[in-house]
This record gives sequence, C-alpha cells and structure tokens, in this order.
Amino acid sequence: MDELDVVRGFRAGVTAPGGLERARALARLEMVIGPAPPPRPRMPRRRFALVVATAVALAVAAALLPGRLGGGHGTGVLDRALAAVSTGPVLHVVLEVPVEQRWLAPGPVHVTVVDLTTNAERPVIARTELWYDPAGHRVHQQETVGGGLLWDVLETPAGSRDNLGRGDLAAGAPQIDPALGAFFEGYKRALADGSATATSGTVDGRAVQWLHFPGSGSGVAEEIAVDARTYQPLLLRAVCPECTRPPVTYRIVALEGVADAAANWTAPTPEEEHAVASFDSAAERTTVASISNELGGSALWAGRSVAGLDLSAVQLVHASTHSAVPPTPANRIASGLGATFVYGSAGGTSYATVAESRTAGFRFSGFNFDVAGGTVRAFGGAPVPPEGQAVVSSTQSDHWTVQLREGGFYVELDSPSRDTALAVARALEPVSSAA
Amino acid sequence: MDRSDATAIAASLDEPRAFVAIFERHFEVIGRYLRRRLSETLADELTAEVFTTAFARRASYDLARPDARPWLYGIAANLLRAHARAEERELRALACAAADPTRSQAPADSPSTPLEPVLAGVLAGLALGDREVLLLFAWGELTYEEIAHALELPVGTVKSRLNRTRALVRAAISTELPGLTKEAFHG
Repeated sequence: MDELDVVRGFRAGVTAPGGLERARALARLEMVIGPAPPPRPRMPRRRFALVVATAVALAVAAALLPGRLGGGHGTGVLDRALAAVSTGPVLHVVLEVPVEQRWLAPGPVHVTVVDLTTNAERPVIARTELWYDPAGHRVHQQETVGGGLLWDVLETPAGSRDNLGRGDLAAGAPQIDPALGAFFEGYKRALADGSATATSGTVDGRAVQWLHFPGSGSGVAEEIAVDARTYQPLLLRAVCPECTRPPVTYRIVALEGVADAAANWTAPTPEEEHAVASFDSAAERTTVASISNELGGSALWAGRSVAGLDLSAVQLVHASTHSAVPPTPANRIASGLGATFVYGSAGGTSYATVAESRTAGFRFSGFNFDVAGGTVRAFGGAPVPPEGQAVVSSTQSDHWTVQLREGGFYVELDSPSRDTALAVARALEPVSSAA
Repeated sequence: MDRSDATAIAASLDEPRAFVAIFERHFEVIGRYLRRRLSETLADELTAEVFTTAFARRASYDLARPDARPWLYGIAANLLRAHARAEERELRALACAAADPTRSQAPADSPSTPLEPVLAGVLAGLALGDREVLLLFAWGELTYEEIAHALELPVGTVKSRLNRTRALVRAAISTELPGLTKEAFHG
C-alpha cells in the first residue's frame, strides 16, 4: 500500500455541500456580482435569492410599511401599485421565466422542446413559488422546471429541510438568505427616503409603469412593471447598466399577501438518497452487426449515412455509477451498457454522435441525463418529453445537443449543427429494421 | 460543451455574471475539499468566501491557464491559514480518540479505521505549508506545477515538501501499524 493511498482514503467519505449550502453560497456571490440567478447546468436546484428578495421586499413592505408609502414620497403610482397587492400576513410569490434566459454560459443559451414531426418549438419554463411569513420566520420555496418539481425547501426557526433529505441547519433564528435580508433592508430604505421612482413604458403593446428600486450596498437595482390601468404587477427585471446582455425578465404570476391558512407550509417529502457520487465508463469498438446483441435489444441508429455524414465508428460502452470519488470497483453501485454511433469525424467541423442507453442514470461521453425527483431530465433540468419530441439545447453556437427517448432508449445527439442534430434525431430507427 | 474557465473569467470582466459559470463548475470540488479539512459549518462558510474572493480578484487571473481549479485552491489555502488551529485541534482530537478508548466524548468524526488516527496525528503535526502541499496533491489531485501556481511556490519547493511529508506518513504507518492492508484502511 502506498502512503498516498492512505492520505487519499482519509475522510474520503466526506460529501460535497448540498443544494442548500450551494444556494446560500451562490446567493452570497450574487450579492457581489449581479442580479438574476442562473440555474445549475446539471442540477438546477437552487434559490432565486435576489429576484425573490425584490418580490418579497415589495409585498412585505406593503404589509409592514403602508404608511410610509403614502407619506408624500410616492408618485401615486407606487401607492396604487402597492394597494393592488393584498396585504395578508404571508407573502405569496410566483415567478416564471424561460429556463434558457436564466442560464448563464459563455455563449448564447438555447433550451427548447421541439416536436420532431411538426417542428413546433416551445420554451422550457422555470417556475419559482414562495411563501414567506415574516412574523413566523418561515419560508417555503418550490422550484419546478418544465412542470417537474426540482427543489422544495421549508425553513422555519426550528431548522430547515428540503426534498433532498437535508435538514441540518441549526435551529434558532430564521435563516433568511443574507442576500434577501440585505436587499430587503435596502428596499425599506428606498421606501423611507422616497428614492423608489416610476416611469411609463410599454410591454408587448400594453401600457405599464416601471417601478424602479435602487440597489443597496452591493445589491442591485431592480424594476417591476405594473399594468398602467390595474396596477397589477406583471414583470420583474434587474437593472445592470454595466451588463452587455439584456436583463433576465421574470413574469410575475402572483405577488400577493395571503392568509396563513392559504399558504403552503407542507414539509417537503425527502426523495430517496442520491447515492451516486461519480460515474465511470469504458468504450470498445464494435460493429453494427453485433451492437444490438451486445446491448440486449435493437439499438437506434441513423443508418449508414445521414445528413451527408457517413457512419465512422460504433462503440459499445460499459458504464457504471459509484458511491465515491474516484470511481473504483469497490464503490461501484451499478453497471450497464450503452452505445455510441459516430457520423463524420467526431471533434471536427462536421459530425454527429448518437449516444444511447436504456438507463438514464449512467453518464458517458455524449450521454448526459439527470434523474431528479423521480424524473429523467435533459439539459437545463427539462424533463425528457414523450416520444416524438426532443429537448434541443446549446450553450455555444457551435455545439448543439438533442435529447429524447425512443424505443426504450434514452438518446443524446451532439453536433456542431442544430439542423444536423435534428436531422439525425428524425432519422433514428432500430438497427434491426435497417438490417 | 463548456468553454474554458479562462474564457468565462475573461467574459466576467465585461459581464460580471459570467463568473457564475466558475462557481457552477467548481463549487462542489472546492466545497468537498474544505469539508475534508474543517467542520462542515466552517468549511461551507469558507467555500462561499472562496468564490466571492475569487470574483474580487478575477482581474489578476492568468488567462493563459484554462483550468481555474489551482487558482481556487490557492485562494482556499489562503483562507485556511486563519483556521489552521481549528484544523489541528480537530485532527488531534481524532488522533486521541483512538489512543484513549476511555474518552467519554469522541469528536464528531470519530475514526472508523485504525489508520485514521495515525494519519490524523501526522497531519496535525505537519507545518501548515507542508500539509497544504500534501493535501492539494492527494485530495485536490493537482500536479506539482499546479500546486506551485496555487501556493505561489517554486516547483522544486513543492517536490521537496511532498517528499518530506510522504516520508513522514510512510514512517508513521510502518511504525504504528506494520503490515496493514489497504482493505483494512477502507474498512
């Protein structure tokens, strides 16, 4: 035994921080760097701290400080806007945004669901719903992507727990995000000193008033659009003059004060422990003739040639999941098989890969699905749609990914070209029928 | 699919939020490393601090280095200096827990294998700089050159420190637990 093995094994069972710790750390970072929170690429359970902070601030201020708003500082619009927000003791906020807008990457981000027959395309929507009880020091937040619940967390003075099974926060004072607390204080100051302002504008042809709330300290300024006639809140966006991209704009589905009985304080149901800590795989060359036998079922391919690209390689992949890092035979949880078809020259300027497995829980080159909340998810947390549809995503202009399920397989296609990736998706067929 | 860390950091100079990509890529590995060094609560606090500090210092990042991990580990090492005593205290407690079976209060992470208290004792006795090099090599999986970059040391110093600490670990194991197998260590 090597002494380095001993050191490597020491405290090797320590786990990485979980979703809650990640959310808190990210909220701290976002306090420094800017407004809208992006989701995690592969495990997008997280808190929309700053955006929610603004929404919370608005309604809580409405509930707690109505006198100050009417005290000669307001433009009138602010008074009416806040009057349009009911002032129940519990804040209820629902925000929606296409997931591709929240996602930060060096390149442009696209995440949509495409119908492979009609070519119809729709965005994948991320939704945050939050209940906040300032008097009872409780916060309940749920995040869904594409309709599937990703993250559910309840914080109370007695502690916190989420659907990932974590409940390890210290009891005591309410653990509101530092970002939220700081932003709230900044907003209250803005109300008190009259620095919140409003200007007229239009959104999709609809007359609105934009309410401007200056940032505080390292916080960021944000704006909320209210309908010019009804004063119902419609949109929320950050203001970042130094940013080169347009701000993320959230649609406000609900922003209201509700009775405690109308709030959702149901504790999250812990999911089964996610024991997988790492993945491993090894690929070996094989042939079209034998791949289906090796996989134990007819593999999917796009024929000998597709979109002008000839089949250049077929690989059988031995994939496994492991309970620790690095993956070793001793910590293996499960193993299985996958296949990869390469069209053109992988890594060149024109190619397409087809990676497939009957089990979405594995990861190997060109095959990246998540299993969260009992749902198999594609890039961006989007649930894998029914057969005939696919999640199409990209984080840079020269790489596109199409993820789908078909014939009992989960399939990922990668190509520098969106059109090529979709052409391959439409051409998929069982190897046996082609043979 | 992702571009390099250097690209993201460069982009963050004009568009600060591009830096979130660095957080997304490295939070878990830095967080886990610090949890192996310190108590969870303190480690999580420092992990958040690593990224806010990194953001503040991003203008000085060497864009010729595509992987930001060594840089982040270096920031973590700087932050760890303030908590060296806490780390040593925990390591010594772990070492003592096995040495004195009558202890009524074991530390939170009591040893589960015979090697752990031995190694804890060795690590507790190392100079902080030596411990840093050893653990960045063994846990952080950095190369000599990456460690040198992270800690701003000459590569030769990294090699000599690593040789010295490896010899100390080897000697402690052979003295305390001769003939121990790997299987025994992993329990």
